[in-house]
Amino acid sequence: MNVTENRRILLIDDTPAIHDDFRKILVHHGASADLDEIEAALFGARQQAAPVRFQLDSAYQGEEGWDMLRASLEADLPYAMAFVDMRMPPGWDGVETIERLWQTDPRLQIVICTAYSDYSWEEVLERLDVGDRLLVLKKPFDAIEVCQLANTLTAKWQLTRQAELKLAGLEEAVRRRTVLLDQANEALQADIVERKRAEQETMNAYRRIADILEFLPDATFVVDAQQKVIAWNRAIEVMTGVKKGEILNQGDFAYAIPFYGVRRKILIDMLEEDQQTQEQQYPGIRREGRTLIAEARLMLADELRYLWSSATPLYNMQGDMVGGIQSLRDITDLRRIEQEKTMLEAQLHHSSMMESLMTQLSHDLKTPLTPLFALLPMVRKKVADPSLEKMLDICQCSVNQIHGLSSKALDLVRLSCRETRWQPLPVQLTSAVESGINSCAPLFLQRGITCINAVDQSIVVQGAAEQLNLLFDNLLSNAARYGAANGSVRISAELEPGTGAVVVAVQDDGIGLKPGQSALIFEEFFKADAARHDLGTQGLGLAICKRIVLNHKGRIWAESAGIGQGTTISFTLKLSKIPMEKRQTKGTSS
Amino acid sequence: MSNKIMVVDDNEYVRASVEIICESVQLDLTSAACGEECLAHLESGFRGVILMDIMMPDMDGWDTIRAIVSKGLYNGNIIVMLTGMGEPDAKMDGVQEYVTDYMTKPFGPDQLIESLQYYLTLLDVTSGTDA
Repeated sequence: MNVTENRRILLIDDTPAIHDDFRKILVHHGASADLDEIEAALFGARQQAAPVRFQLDSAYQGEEGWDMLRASLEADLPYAMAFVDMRMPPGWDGVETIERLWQTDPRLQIVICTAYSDYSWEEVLERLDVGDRLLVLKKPFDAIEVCQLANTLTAKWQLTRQAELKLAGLEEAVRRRTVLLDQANEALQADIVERKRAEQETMNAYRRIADILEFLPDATFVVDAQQKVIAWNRAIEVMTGVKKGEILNQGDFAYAIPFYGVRRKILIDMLEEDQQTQEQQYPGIRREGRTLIAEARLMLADELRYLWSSATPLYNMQGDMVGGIQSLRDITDLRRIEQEKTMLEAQLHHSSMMESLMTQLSHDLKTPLTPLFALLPMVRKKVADPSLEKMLDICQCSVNQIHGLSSKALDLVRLSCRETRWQPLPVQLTSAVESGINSCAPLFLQRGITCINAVDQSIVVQGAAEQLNLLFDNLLSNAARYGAANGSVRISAELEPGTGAVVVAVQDDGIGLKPGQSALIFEEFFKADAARHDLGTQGLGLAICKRIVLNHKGRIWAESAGIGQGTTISFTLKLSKIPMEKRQTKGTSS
Repeated sequence: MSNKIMVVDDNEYVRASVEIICESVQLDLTSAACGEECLAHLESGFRGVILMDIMMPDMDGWDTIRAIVSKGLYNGNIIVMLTGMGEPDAKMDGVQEYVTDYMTKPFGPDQLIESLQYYLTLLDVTSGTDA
């Protein structure tokens, strides 16, 4: 860096003659012999001085010199040096002037000119921050001395200035560099923050996925490209009893051990196998996109389990396979329920087949029975031979028996499958009783039995009239058959407190029951007096009664004090309406 | 009193039984083994009490009644259905109104005779009213 040569000098002295002398010495006048001579006369023999060219400005008082210095700085034409006289009355003296000058321009090189001083040099030096900026020129001074001082100090200013500029340049370079470094640093910081944020986000996302995986309801594990286990969730811990700590980072098919007891390929290892191998290992395996789905039957904790499983490969952003994920679901309960369902369906099918077979059989028997039923009495009328009569009676009795059996069996089958098909309606209980009494009237008459209907007419129950008629038909035909000859049968009904039900009782005074028989009599084909080979009954009557009562959500039971002590059959029906008044009605048939 | 009876049943023995019983009380019986035969008799002018079996192959009792009605052969007849007392079936919907009574199989001779005589009387009364 170059600095324009500065040879400007400020002379501050109150003596005008001094100014002339300095001017002669420092300002080049070309070949002026006169001046040379004067110079020689003034300063002694002429000395060979280097040609100099300075710009010399004159001030005659310290304050004037200070003004000129400030003006020069404003004009950007600073002085390189100043010669300052020590004593300049009436204004500032040299020391004060120098003080002011340096306050304004600390670079200014100063030569203090003095013949004597009001201050000791120590005082001067103490008062001024002299440094290397001040030289002393004692009067009278030599021209060459002045000239050399001017040369040296302007050069020094120049050098100092250059050094300053260089330093400033360096400082500027350092500053610029620092700015760049700061910018780079800032960018780096921002980058670091961004990276940290991204890293945090990645961590959070990873954490979220890990949490989701951890709490998936399906047992799930994940392997990396080396088939090492990198995730093993809670559900699979529960399923296998193997904790994360025991299996994470394990390779070499370690994940197969909890399921198969040995290291072997499982569904997740089938992802890249061909279809044939897949099917050999997992019959029924299927593929949905990239996912393989299969079922396995295996022993877990010494129990046969059915596991449904799906395995899917995992890929990175570049599309390379980096592992796989497999989920397992214990579907043992589902499979068992399905097996049970299949079994029940088979049973249901079987029972409905039996039902329709029974219905068909009972129904079809009616047709061949018709000619027998129609013709036997015709034949019987035409026969006079007593032995033939006896034979025909046996035939007629058997036909009646077959007819009764098929009718009752058909009733029972119909009632058993009817349960869901009818809606309960209000039925007056006495009318069902009367219907039964009317059906059985010939039998009551035949055996001389009195039948008493003691049921309150106001009692209305919920039920199906047809079934209730059949119920009383069966109960009363039993009572008529097994009641004491010329005895009585009584039908009564009482409200059961607090249940909204009515208890109906059919009481006879006949053959009674042995202890232990009271539950058995409601079984199909049970006959109280089996030894008698009772030809008039089928052993289905009470089974039908029980079915009807159960259809009405009621209970039925039998009581007897013993053989010959009579029997009471009781059952409950739901009330439809609470009776408003009690009335005793007797219906008799004898 | 008219005494014309027709039994429509695919079972030969049932038809024979009804025939024997009717003969015993001098009732005039026409037999039909299927719905078509029944229709043929009606088209030939039969009018009286028809004992109609429900379960018959091809054309059952209900189909036969439908055909009778649609051919305009119903008037002047009384139909009594012979039933095994099975479940009511959906096929009877819409034709039940043409059935006067049901007789449950098996039936004894007295029951049959009583029934037939009752409906023959009824037929006489309604025909008389109609005429």
